[in-house]
Amino acid sequence: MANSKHNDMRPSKNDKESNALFLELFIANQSRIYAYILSKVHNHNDADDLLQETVKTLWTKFDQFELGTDFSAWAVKTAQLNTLKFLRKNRRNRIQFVDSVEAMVDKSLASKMTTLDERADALKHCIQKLSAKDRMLLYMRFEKTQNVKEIANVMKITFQSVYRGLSRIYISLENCIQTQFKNETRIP
Amino acid sequence: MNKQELYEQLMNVMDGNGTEQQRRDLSDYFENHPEQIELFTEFIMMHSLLFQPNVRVDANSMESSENIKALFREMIQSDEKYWSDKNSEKIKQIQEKVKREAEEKLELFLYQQRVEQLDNAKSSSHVRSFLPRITKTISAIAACLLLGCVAWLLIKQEPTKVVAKIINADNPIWSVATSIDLENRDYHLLSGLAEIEFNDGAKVILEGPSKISLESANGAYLQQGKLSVWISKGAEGFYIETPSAKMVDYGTEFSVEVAENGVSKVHVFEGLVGLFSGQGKNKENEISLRAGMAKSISSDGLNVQNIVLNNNGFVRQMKGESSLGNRLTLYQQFVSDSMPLAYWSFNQKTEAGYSSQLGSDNYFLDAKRNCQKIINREEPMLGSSVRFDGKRSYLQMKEPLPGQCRDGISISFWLLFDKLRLQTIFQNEFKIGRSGLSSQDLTFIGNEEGTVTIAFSGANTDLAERLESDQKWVRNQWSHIVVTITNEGEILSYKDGQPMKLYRTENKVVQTLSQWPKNYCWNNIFIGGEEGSEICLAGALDEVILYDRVIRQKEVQNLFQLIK
Repeated sequence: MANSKHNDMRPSKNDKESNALFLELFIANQSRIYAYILSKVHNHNDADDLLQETVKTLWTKFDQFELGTDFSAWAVKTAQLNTLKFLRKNRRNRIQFVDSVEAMVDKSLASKMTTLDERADALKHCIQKLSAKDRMLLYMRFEKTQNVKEIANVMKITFQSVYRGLSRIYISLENCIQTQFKNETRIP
Repeated sequence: MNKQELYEQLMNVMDGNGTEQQRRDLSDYFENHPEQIELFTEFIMMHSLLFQPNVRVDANSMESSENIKALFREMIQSDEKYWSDKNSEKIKQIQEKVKREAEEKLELFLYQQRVEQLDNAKSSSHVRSFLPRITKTISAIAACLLLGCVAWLLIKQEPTKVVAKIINADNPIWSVATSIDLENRDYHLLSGLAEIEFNDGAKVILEGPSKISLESANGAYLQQGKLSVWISKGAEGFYIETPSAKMVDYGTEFSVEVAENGVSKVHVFEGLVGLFSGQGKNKENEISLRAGMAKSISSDGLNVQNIVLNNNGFVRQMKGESSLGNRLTLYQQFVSDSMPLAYWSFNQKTEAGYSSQLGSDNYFLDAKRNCQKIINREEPMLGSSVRFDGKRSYLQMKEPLPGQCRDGISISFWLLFDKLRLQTIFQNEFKIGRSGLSSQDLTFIGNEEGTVTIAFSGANTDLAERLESDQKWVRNQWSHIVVTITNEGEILSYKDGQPMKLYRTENKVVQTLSQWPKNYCWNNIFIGGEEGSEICLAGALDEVILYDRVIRQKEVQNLFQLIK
């Protein structure tokens, strides 16, 4: 979010401070933007391309951004426009939600976004609690960006087993995050 | 459908692997079970958070390691009676646990090794999945923004870097001028041959006409044409990708051909190659190809067929007899690309002396005393060198070199001593004022002990600085010397491509010339001696190159290696 201390400063691309500010704002909101895009395009590679497209758009239009206003909303709006443009041309190969489902997805996602930063903090802690093997699976998938078939090849298992393992880890991490939230709520 | 099954399906579909039916089933499922939409958004959130660059997953099995330590502690703290009885159930249990932990750790370590290997083998642009591109983009944006540059975002996303170099060639004609150092970009060899050494150790002979994209120090994309690959130990994992296949080298020799119609052929002559077939990012089903095997892969990557090994259809070795001439071409191209101020190869002599191969015609070295003579240099040196008889023969610039230097000066030359004695190798005389009484000379002197002294005398000779090399020379052996000095007087010297230490007094390494003036540049050059001097060079010099800038160590190594 734009900090109030920057309210009197008009961003300029020649200004290193505002460049750093853009970066700070973007990184803080990257997961939000990505989550929005992925919820619409349902494909990792397309979401990746659209995120890149969005960061370029945001950067080139950063002069127009009013400091003190909501960067997150501005960024998601930009991502929304890029995504709509993309979906007009690429309607195939994704899950086609009916309008009512689409609206419920938007509502549910918006509600979860409010606790995204807390979730991120909890997630860092929860990852440490995973077994070494599960961490290795996540490491291969997210740090080394192996695709599922490559991971299956390395671990000498079927790729269905990799999906099974990853989905189990996701659920385990979600449970851990929920527990963390509950514990924090209990602390006065 | 339970939560885990739902997640598995979502992962599959979002990876682009799902069928149309699966996608339809999912949309029907959410329509009929709207309460499950929470799970969909939960999944999206988790995936996006794991995707976030500041949520890092550490592969090191700290927990496992801690467990092992705890088990050992448990063993040590166990009652002595357990230790006295090796068959004790307790001991057995602990040993089993330790063994399991150790096995798991080893297994994870092996996974990690394999992951690193695959990671290296993966193409940077063709098969990489979503994460690194983004993380790289963000890092690059960070660097760019903090430096205040703007145009980068609009022009290109990743800067090029040198990933390989040409080490040999046979009449290569490129579509555009190509330097020795090759970057991670596209190249089009119209005809001829080029032997390319990748930074990670693989060597490739590319045959024209070929279109190739060097993707990293560890792999390339051959769009069309022919090439042969050799892998030295340590370079395993090198890959060649084509439109319909990818070959990962596990330590071997193989050749690849991509025809105009997109059909790829691979021939394995030694060792083992992993072959993945398929178009674009969908290369899968690794087939192991051993020595003597050859395959043809259709343009869509769907049909892989055995073919007869073609032993003679590829250039697998550059012809030895042509390599010296080729190296000369490459070397001269490199020197030309490095934009020196002046360059004397001493290969052609007129009656009056030697002209510079590059730069102005005025950069002419006059022969003095007419005592020097051309000799044919012994192998592996190239062409001819200039020999000095040690009897007052030397070369002098016809006119002083004009202009100013950029960030400093550099000189590169090959040197051979006939005798180890006090002798002048090279001198740059920078006279100040009309009278020239106040001069600032940079002089390289050979010593009786076989060392070299670099002396800089300021306006006042009392302030002369003399730095002596830590290396010793022997008679009748060629050595390559490079000295670079920045405008601030920071001096670096190299012998045979490796940094050399310079001492002012014993045990005190010097890195800066304290008297070095800011505007110092090349001026009046003397080689092998100077007027009136009694200490002329007894030996030979070759390939003298002057730069008006500080050259980098990589350039120094190229200058050395292309001739050594």
